[in-house]
Amino acid sequence: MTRPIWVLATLGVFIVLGTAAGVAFGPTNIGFQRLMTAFFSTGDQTAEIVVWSLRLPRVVAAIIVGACLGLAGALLQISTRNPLGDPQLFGLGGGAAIVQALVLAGVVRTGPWGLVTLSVVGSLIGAGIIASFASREDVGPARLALIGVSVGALALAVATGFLTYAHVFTQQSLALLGGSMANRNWQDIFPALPFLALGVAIAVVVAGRLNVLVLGDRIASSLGANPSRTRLTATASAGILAGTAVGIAGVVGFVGLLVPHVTRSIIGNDARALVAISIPMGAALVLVADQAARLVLMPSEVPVGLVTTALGAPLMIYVARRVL
Amino acid sequence: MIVQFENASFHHGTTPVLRAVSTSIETGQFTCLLGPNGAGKTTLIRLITGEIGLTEGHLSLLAGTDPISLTDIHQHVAVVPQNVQDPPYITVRELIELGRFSPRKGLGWRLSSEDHEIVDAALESCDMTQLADRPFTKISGGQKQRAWLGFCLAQQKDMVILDESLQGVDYFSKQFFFGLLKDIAAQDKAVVLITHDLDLAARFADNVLVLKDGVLVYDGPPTDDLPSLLIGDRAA
Amino acid sequence: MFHRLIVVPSLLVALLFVLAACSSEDDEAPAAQQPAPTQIAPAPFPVTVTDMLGRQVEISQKPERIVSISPTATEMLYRVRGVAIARDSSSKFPPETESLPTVGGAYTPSVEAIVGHQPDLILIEALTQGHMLPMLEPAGAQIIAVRATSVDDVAQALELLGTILNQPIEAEEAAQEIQARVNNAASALSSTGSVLILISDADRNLYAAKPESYPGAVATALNMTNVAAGLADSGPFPGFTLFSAEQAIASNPDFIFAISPAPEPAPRLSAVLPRVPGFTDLAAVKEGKLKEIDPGLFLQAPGPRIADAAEQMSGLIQETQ
Repeated sequence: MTRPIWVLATLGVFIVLGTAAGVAFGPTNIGFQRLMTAFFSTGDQTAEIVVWSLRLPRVVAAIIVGACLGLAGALLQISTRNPLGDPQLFGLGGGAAIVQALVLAGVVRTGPWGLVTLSVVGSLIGAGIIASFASREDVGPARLALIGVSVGALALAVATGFLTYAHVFTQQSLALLGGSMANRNWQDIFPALPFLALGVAIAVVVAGRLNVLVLGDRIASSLGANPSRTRLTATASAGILAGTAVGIAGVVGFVGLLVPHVTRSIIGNDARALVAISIPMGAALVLVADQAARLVLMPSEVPVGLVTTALGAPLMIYVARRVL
Repeated sequence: MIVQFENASFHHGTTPVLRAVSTSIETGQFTCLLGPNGAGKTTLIRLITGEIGLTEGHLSLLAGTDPISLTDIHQHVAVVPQNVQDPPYITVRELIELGRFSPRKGLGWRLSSEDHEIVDAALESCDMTQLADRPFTKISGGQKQRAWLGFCLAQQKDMVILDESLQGVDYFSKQFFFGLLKDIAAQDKAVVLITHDLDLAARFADNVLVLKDGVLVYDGPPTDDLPSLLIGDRAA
Repeated sequence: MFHRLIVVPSLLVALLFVLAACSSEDDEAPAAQQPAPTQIAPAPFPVTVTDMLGRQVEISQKPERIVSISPTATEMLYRVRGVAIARDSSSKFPPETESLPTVGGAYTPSVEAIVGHQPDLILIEALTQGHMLPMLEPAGAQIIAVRATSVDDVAQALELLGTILNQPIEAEEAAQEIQARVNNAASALSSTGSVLILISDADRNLYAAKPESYPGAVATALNMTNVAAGLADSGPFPGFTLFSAEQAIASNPDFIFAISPAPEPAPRLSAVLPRVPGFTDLAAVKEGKLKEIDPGLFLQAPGPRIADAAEQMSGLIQETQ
């Protein structure tokens, strides 16, 4: 197993490269000099707007979304002992998607703070459903995954229904259902920060107690742990993080599923390391995916969820064959 | 440590599951708990671990002469229940290391050198040192059983309870396992095994308990009459 | 006889010279009268206008760098003799806009590309692009929304742009010309009647344009009644509603207009419709009052060419009268 410090360093490199790509490339060609001017001084107003108001917020959004999804996936997989744990597959993202659809449809009117908060609330409802089933002994991993997938599918159907009913234009619907970070401003991102911090804080608090959950609830209890409370806490954190991610970028699939498996294959089985490394791993993945999403068919955009699935699915198959 | 049942009864709703059971289980003994399915064996175990409470009668657990309260039971009893699922991903060693877990240690939990010694000793005791770094899911049934035993040993508790965990294990591995349990009991632990294997129980157990329909029909050293006790008519 | 050949043209030429002299005298006259004793019109800038999303926008000076991201807005702009420096990729009319650089699609404009042109004014369409306002803010330009759901809308939008560009005369002329052409198209009809405007989607569902839609607005301008009036929206297109053969039979429209957005060689709806069960026996179909209308005019760019659309529809009705 690779030592965490090397993994962090590698991920750091990816994040720096992704940020550089995010800032340097785009529909408007800004040369290196103008880029530096935009960073270090004022004067070139166009370059400044492009870099600070358009490209940089998007980079930060991608990092936040990736961190949220990677961590949420790790928390779900560990606390439910389920290799299919993923915020979208387990229906957490679905609750938030319904909220987003209502806002897009004009049924609910709110600003960025309301949007992220309501998304988190919607996601926590989905998390509650999964948590209530996960603690029952007669629900094994496959059944739990089925329940989650059903809840998620139902939620997405409801969300799509709202969008259709309100004749929301295709482009906006695609952005919600396929995931997109196009045109994210700083105002869209600020509300996410406290929720991300809250989710990470809860995860840190609960991480030390996650390792024993792998033994099953009865044996974990016999060691003196309180597995259902630990699971509830971890799922709540996953709910907050998933809601935040959907609130910013819509439904970005596969990240929460893939990141914990890749992390585990590199860093081993300690839940604390998994929780810690899933954060930058998710951030790097979504950042790189978003660069692909916006640069491949420039100036058109591919939904970022499409890229994460296209990257994630083959990688998931490879990991599954080697590890599971 | 001593576990003492006096006239213990347990009712599930209105159905009696255990009726007036009186027995004691002590350290230094390898006890086999036998009986048909539904006889109440698992219920008896759950009463010891504190998962359920008696309907009637008296149960006391003593460490030496000090009584053990309900909340502290888990500090004295290591249990591997029935039908336990294989833990995914982790290796045998990592499983046994989890036996050293204590909720108080929390986030900064690290294995001390003493913990490492205990883990190594547990691996030795159940003959799993060779397979220590193999993923749990990739070992045989008998090896998994020994790994769980190692997990219990690493907890260093007075009592180890294993519930019917030997389905589909070949005879030689089972035999080896029974031998291990007897040796461990001799090292001043109370070892309880729920099993259907009369033959091995007769050969290795220090004490045998037979439950039929919630009634304790036999409590003593192994005898040749065990088969007839189990196969005969249901107790009145 | 010979005299007339010389005299008449000579007189005409002389007349022309006299007229030219008179008019040039008129031109020079104001110059001789300067300075004007009072200012008749107030200074044109700064001016606060209300755009068609109801927003109050202050224009501090005449916009010189205009980016239009909707075909509707582009046509409106050029109709009042404005010019743009960049357009969305769907804007193709008038022809001089084709050479302009593009900044993405009308549904997916690239804010970055827009910013790269350093605009001082961005023109959008109110209904389809209203939600893009927050996204366009970083460009730092004023944003004006126009709309063309009726002839009145078109007139209002032209006036709005005329004020913004300080070209009120051009705007007034354009609005009046359009109104006049529409009125003529309406009065050229010897009688009014009921109209059904149909479009079909890829799954062969038929949708009728309600009066709230752009094609519906054209029909309303011609004083035709719309058999789809009062129905609820259904289906993905705002202003359109799913329409069944039964409804067609029940409403028995006098005229049916078909729009086929798919380019050739896709079949024209007006050719397909007579074979659809229920439509075959409609009076309008049997009497040859089922006509094809141009999707470019009726769907793709609501705007000043509403006059052309009205004339096309009126012409088609007149053919049958």
